[in-house]
Amino acid sequence: MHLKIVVLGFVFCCFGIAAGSANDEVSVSLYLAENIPPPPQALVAPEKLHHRLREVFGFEHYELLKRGEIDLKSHWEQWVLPRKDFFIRLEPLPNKTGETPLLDYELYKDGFIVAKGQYEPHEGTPLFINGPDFKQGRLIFVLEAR
Amino acid sequence: MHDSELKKLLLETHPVRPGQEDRAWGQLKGRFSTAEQIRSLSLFMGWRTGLATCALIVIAILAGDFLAMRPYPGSFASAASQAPGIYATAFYSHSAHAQVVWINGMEPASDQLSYMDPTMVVAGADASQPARDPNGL
Repeated sequence: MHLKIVVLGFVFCCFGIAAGSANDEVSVSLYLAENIPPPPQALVAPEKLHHRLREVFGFEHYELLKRGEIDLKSHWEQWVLPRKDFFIRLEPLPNKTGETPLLDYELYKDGFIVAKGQYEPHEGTPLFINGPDFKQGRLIFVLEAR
Repeated sequence: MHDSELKKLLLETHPVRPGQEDRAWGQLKGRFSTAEQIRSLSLFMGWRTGLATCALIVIAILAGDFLAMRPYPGSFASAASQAPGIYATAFYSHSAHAQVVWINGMEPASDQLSYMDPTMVVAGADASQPARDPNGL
């Protein structure tokens, strides 16, 4: 019986630790999805992410064009500008301690806002934003909680 | 009437036959033991039921915590169009385990000079090199 109590306490502690170590950063990457292979020196998506992107978008190759990080603890707007004609504005919203942070985003194309929304970053659940077509492929924003 | 008088009257009117008391006590004892067994069984069942209920509650709490913390197949993202001709929607892809914001209606991105930076062309640039995407940063 004492062993069960100890195990139960350990499980609750694990949940507490997991909840306490909330994500503080979100990486924002712009990928170019194409069916033709990228140049050998190109950075490509990690294998797991590659499979996920392929499940959604169906392209064969995902070349990393730019990567940026935003700090969820800083509650002011942060911009990730991988291109002049396609970029994103992010603003972490204030939240109470222990709550999942919420991220406001605005997507810009050719200098004009085209879409906006909110995203709740969760580790292991990235956000894919389907961007405009580019050359033979498509631009895709990937937001991942770190 | 006192108890002793009642007992005396009963003995006179209904005399106890030999062995009747023993038989009655035997039957009563049998019933007592059965009742005791039922009582102990119900106590045992009650203890087990209580323990099972507690275990189920704990499992339900843990499962709730687990479901709340794992990547939840609901919508963690929202999307709204902000321009005419643009359509935006958000959904969760179960196969990819990812949130997806799908935007339709955008013009293709260009690798030509954009109106935002018309002075990008550098005079005397090496024409033999592959053209760099002027919109890339």
